[in-house]
Amino acid sequence: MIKKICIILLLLNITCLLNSCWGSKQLSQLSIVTALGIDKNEDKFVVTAQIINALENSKYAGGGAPVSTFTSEGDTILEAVTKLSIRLPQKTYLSHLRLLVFGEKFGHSGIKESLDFFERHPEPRSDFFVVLSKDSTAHDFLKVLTSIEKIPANKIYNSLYNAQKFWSAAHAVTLFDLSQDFQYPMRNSVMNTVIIEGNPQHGASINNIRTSDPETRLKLGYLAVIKNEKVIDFLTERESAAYNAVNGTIHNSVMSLKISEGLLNYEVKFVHAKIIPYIENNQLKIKIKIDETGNISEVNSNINLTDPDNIKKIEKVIANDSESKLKELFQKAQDELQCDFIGIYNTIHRSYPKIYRDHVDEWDSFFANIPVEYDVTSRINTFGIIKNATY
Amino acid sequence: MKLYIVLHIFKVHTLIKYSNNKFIRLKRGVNVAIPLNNKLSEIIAKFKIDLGNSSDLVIRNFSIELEINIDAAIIYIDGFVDKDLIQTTLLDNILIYKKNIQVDNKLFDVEDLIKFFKYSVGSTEIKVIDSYKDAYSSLLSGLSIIVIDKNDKALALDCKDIKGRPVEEATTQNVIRGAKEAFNESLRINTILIRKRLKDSKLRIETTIVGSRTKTDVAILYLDDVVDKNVLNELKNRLNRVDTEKILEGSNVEELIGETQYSIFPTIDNTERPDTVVADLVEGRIALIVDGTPFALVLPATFNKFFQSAEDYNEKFDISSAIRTLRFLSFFIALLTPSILLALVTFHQEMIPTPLLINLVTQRQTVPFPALIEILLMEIVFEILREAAIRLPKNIGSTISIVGAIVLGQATIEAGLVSPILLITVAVTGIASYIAPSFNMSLSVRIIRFFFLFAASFMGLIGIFVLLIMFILHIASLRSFGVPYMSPLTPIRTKNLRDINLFQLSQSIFGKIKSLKTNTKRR
Repeated sequence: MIKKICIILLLLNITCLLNSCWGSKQLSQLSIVTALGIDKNEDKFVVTAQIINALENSKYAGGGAPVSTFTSEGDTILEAVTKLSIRLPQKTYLSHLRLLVFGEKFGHSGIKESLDFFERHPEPRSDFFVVLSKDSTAHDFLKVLTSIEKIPANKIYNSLYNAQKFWSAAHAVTLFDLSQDFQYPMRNSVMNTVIIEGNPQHGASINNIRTSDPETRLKLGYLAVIKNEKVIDFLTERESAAYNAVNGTIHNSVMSLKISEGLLNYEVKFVHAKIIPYIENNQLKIKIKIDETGNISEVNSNINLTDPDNIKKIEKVIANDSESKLKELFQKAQDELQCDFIGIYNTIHRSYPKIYRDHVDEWDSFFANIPVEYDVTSRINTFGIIKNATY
Repeated sequence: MKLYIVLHIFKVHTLIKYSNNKFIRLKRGVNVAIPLNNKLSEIIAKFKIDLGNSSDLVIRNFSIELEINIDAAIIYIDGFVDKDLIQTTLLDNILIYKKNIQVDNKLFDVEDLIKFFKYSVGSTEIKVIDSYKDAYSSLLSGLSIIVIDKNDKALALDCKDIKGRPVEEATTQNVIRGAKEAFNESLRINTILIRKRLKDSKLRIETTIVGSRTKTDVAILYLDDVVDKNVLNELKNRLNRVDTEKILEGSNVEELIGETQYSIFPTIDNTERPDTVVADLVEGRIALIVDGTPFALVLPATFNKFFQSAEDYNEKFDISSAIRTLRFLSFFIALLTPSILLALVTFHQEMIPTPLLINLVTQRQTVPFPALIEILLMEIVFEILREAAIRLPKNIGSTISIVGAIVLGQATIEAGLVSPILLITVAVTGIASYIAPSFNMSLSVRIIRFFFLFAASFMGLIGIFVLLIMFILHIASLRSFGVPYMSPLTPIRTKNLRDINLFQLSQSIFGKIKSLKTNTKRR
């Protein structure tokens, strides 16, 4: 018995030294990749990894950049990612990927081949955001350093996360959402764009974030439209907001209104959207029904808010404005692009599966001819803690 | 005054103790009583030889002057007895005896003397001894022996006066609200502390002697009408089977009669609080008090008993339920925190939120060791500190804690030997392991934690869960004197669930709590 116990204890002792058990990896041996950027150089993928420079984030920071970017080329994404190791001291670790950035050119040429790797590989989760770097390559985008939030990938992740809560034009798309949209044969979707303001080369320098007014900054853009896995166009702010309104992804937003007496600001608090397909005279039609509720949050006019008629009048203006936004969106989708990136197919698939099945092969042209009706109701709950504007 | 009363009762009980010797071991049955030789000088000589002429053996010769002079001697162990009492009860009384009793020419008889003592000496108990074996055991347990020439019987008088600690405050299981009295080393004082609180005629105190050399008194306490007789018989059997030379502490008995030596979990509870023992007795448990030990053993003890404190019943039930929940929580914190940390940082980095991971990575940048070595290093240092703090004299103890906390903790981080998160984990674990009111349960946790660490370093969370399943299987299969260790959780007895963790409800509202299988019909 004692002999047995001794042997077991000895074996246990050995485990201290044999820390390289299957699947075991020490924290200090990992390069945490927070963002991956994908560009294309002729036929090859160019993968840019933004890797946390751990020491620069600790108290031993020596004034270096908090992240470093590494680039490599390969025929496949995995090849390129693996090739990163010839430039890196440690193994790349993708589980904490927050952001996947596509360069604009790559986006236009089609993002199709790049997604399989992220779905198949066990390390990346599917909840990171996918964005398109407008007017630049992903490599340029990822090398720009940011202030306040030291890690640029985290900065974009957080601002996207917050913007989709508080700003109607932003729409965060995760890999999961994208994969879901690509389950449908038309393979249409949207993704948020990101924009570099200023010179990316300067943004890569630590001097960029030493000042209170960085020369080069990263910001969110509006939505990019994906048709058949290719980026084909970009939406305006109003169209992006309308997209979010139709999809019910507005949580809180503001819109400024022009009324006869001056300017008002309407703060949207709650939007209930419904796409209602129906058949009338043998013709499929859709009705976009939107109920929005909110507050008047800024009044730059001498309108008498205590008058119920005035409130009704403002509500009407709001509803008209929202409706015109929707019209712009559908005009773009149906007339200009002839692309159902809004996801109407989803609703019709559920409500009228037969019609969906009949037209699924030429859906986009079918979609372009569906008559759309709008039914927008806006309501004003309160107008803040004062009544009329005091001056 | 109080002490005097206690000591007085203590003497009364000594006799009960000997008359109650129902199951003194007969296993080695070699000691056939050798009758006392009836020549005084030979008796004394034999005493001296057998006891090795020890320096504390006092033999005082005296003679009873009657018509014929009768030689006699009183033999006692110095320090055990009250010399004044010997003087007043024995020697003075013999003078009175001489005056009152006319002795004919017949031989002086011990019986006469006994008769006389019975009437004249109130507070002193006497008994007749007819063998050397009896004489030695009486002598060594503090009685004084009177041997008389030409008699084959001797007399044992109880003039005990053992200096002991007075009843003091509980030191290891102290409570904020509740009785402060604690047991001390004297068996008789301890039983009195219980009798004081449990004035029930059904309270039985049986004494047995364990240990062939130390001959330690072990008292078994139970309530005759509540106790489970099977458990009681099992306990007596086990006590009879004990074959050891020495019992120095209650833990020796615990180990010898305990359920299994291969389990790391305690199956017998111990407490230094008389009120806890009384509560346990009323619930149908059995208490063992070992002479010389200020802790009573309580059995059967189930898993949840080790998480109950006497204070729980002194506070409002909702509050104590919350505190008990905290105890179970901290049991798991103490058991699993270091191993979960290890599993996360070596196997499952994807489970750590990104900001925390960045934080951990930056903390570990300067640490040269693998995470297991790092944790083991700190855990072992912590255990060393803990051990050292117990052994050190009280006034140096605080120095050690300062050295431990500031110098070791701060310096190891400064030196980059361990990461701060690890130090926090070890500290939290250490504190959490102390929250169990029972010290021996926290000792078990201390040890098991290391097994979990190895499992985590070997297989990550899978290892932890495999070990956790084994751990649960083990405690579910344990029994304490026939009572399943995890009862009333498994096998589930819903009525009794009240008294485990969340459901510790007020007795006044919900009636009596019974958590053991007991003789309840007569309650």
